[in-house]
Amino acid sequence: MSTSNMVVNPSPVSGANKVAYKGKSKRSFKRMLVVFSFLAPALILYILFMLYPMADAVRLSFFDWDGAAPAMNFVGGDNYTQLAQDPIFIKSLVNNFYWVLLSLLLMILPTLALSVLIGKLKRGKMFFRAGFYLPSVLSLAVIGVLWSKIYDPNYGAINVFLRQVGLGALAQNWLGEPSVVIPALVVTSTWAFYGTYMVLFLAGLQNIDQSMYEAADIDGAGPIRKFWNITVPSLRNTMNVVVSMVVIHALKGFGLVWIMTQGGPFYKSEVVATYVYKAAFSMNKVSYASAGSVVLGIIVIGLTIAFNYWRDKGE
Amino acid sequence: MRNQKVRLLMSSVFVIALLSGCASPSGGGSTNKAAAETEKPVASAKTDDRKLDLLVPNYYNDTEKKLWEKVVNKFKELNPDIQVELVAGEVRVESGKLTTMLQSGVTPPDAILINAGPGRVKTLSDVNLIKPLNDLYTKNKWEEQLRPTAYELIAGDDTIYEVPHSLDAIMVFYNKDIFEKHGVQAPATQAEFMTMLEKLKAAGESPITVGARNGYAIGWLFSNIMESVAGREEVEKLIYADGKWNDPAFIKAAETLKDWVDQGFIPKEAVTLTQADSKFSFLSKKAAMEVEGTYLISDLADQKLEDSVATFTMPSFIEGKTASPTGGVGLTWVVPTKAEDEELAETWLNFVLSKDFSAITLGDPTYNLIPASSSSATIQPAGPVLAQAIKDIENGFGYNPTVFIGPEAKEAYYQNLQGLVGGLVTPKQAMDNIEAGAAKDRAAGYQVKKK
Repeated sequence: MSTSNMVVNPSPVSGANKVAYKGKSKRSFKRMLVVFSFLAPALILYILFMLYPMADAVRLSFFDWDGAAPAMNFVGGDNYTQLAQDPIFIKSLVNNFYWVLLSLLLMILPTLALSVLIGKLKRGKMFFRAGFYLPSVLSLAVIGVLWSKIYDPNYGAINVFLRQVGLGALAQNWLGEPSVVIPALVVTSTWAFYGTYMVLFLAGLQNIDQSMYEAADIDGAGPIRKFWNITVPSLRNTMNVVVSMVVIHALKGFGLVWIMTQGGPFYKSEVVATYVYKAAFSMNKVSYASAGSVVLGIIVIGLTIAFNYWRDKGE
Repeated sequence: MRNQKVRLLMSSVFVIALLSGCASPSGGGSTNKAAAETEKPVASAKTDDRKLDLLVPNYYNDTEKKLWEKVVNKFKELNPDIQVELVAGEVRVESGKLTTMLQSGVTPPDAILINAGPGRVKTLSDVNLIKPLNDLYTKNKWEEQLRPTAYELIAGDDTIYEVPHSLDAIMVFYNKDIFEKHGVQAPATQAEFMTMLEKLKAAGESPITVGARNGYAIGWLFSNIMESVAGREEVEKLIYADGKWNDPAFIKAAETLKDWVDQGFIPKEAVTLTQADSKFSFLSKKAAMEVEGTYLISDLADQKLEDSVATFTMPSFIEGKTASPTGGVGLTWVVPTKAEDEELAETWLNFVLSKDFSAITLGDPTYNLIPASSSSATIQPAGPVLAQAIKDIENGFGYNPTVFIGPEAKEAYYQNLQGLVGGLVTPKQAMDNIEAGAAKDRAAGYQVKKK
């Protein structure tokens, strides 16, 4: 007998069974209440500060609101249609993907190599670990200002150095030339965040069974072979986390771009986050900006799910 | 079982506390409103305890801060029963902070001094974040107390929402010692101007510095070029009538900017400089000229450079015409709709337009703004640069488009001027792009009117 049948045509039950049934459902309800009472603080905070703003952004994206007007008009998918035809938004998206690609190249293997080197140190491990982690404790505003000075075309450390060693021809206006502005920003971003990923890799390295290296030594494997055949496969899970974090961070990046170039020169370093900010606050197009945010959010979530699916399938 | 009840009770208390904590103070229910209503008469009853809250733009330096303190002290002297709380902060409408603060309704100041411009004021007035001031204009005869130019610029619509505080005069500041070193003088004609640029360049100097990364700063320079190359009538037509950004006159202005970059009169690196970098470059004598407003005066005073810097107006490039500094209303006062005491704001605004205010500000050689009040016209400023600027705008001034154009055009204006300096866009493309932005603004109903 199906449950629905039981509800629609309840079979006659004795008084004792009825009391037992009521008691059971009361206990179950109380258990649920207790469970909810434990979950409530976190759940309410999550709903209030995560789900609600996200849902509200989606709602706003279907209206035409300037951010201050008491009334707003429903425009359906117009904002999304306009985004699809907006060359600057599309350029921003392309820049975001370029940023992701460069971040993956600059962040993963160099940071892993650094972690392995630090992990191999016999003395001073703590010193190097703390030293290399240092940039991660600085605020993005400080990092942005610092690197803007380093990239200064006239007095910046990089160009001064290049000129002094006779490589003045390589000196660039790092934040002003379209071909180098995004790589320059990605280098800064890498410098700012590699400490965090280094700590993750170091934690992963500590969990690798040392007997595998000993066995490899006996078999005569060299350091590069051990790195590719033991270290890298053993760090698979850590690697997955780091790749996910790098991709998400690269797509969401705002602070450094805003501080160092504000998307310029002439939109060459514009990313979706800066474009959305300008649309919302400089051009008073809050709904349009919300639609842009939703598109970026879908891309970030989609990529993360796809990557995790691919990883799970591989395992 | 008892523990479970305690847990349930505690969770409920937590949830209630959390929800009440998250409630917006302005969005409170009837209880809050009732409380506010009962509190208000008590506050107004204490007339000897009235406090005027003012929000003004962030200070450029200590000199400016001291000047504001001087002004406030004078006000207190004249109004001993009013306390004044002056706060400096972000007042650019574009940044979004101001609108957010006004929307929240949490402790709004009684008056705010914002960066002027129809686009900015309209953003606030369209959504009732600031009060119409027509009644106060009539009651206090403010029209007569303003310089006619200032009143014309803000009274295009029937409803007036602002009281102009200062007029901008954007012109060329130059390092006198660099000019003297290379035997050049402030130019009066296009030919002299170009010769001067070439001489400075040939002597290895950086003729013009500009912080193109900040759109408003490259806008200052381009407004001077537009005034000189296109002429005021064309710019006026662009702002108030049917002029287009891609009209030949403005393409020519854009070509001039590009040409100066190509010839090295403006360094290509300017594309990455901020206004602060550019100002540093000028004040440290690494560049001969910078196009700026009178705001620079307080920096000159701060760094004791008053004697080594002077100004001139970029000459007209049109045969038989003269050019003026560009500008418009620089800073303007608005009164938030949610401000508690309009009377206090009125008292303050009357003070700003008074001779007392003009005397105390213009009497200080470090003062860096041209007061918008008519009473200031009769006072000779103590600072020579400000005196020169006021003299230069006696016959009117050109337009700084940044102040007048709509949000879409402004964003395109900033980016495309930056693109011109960086060699990333042609003059024609740049002007077409700005026109496309302006067309969007027009389609959205953006229109500037003049009395």
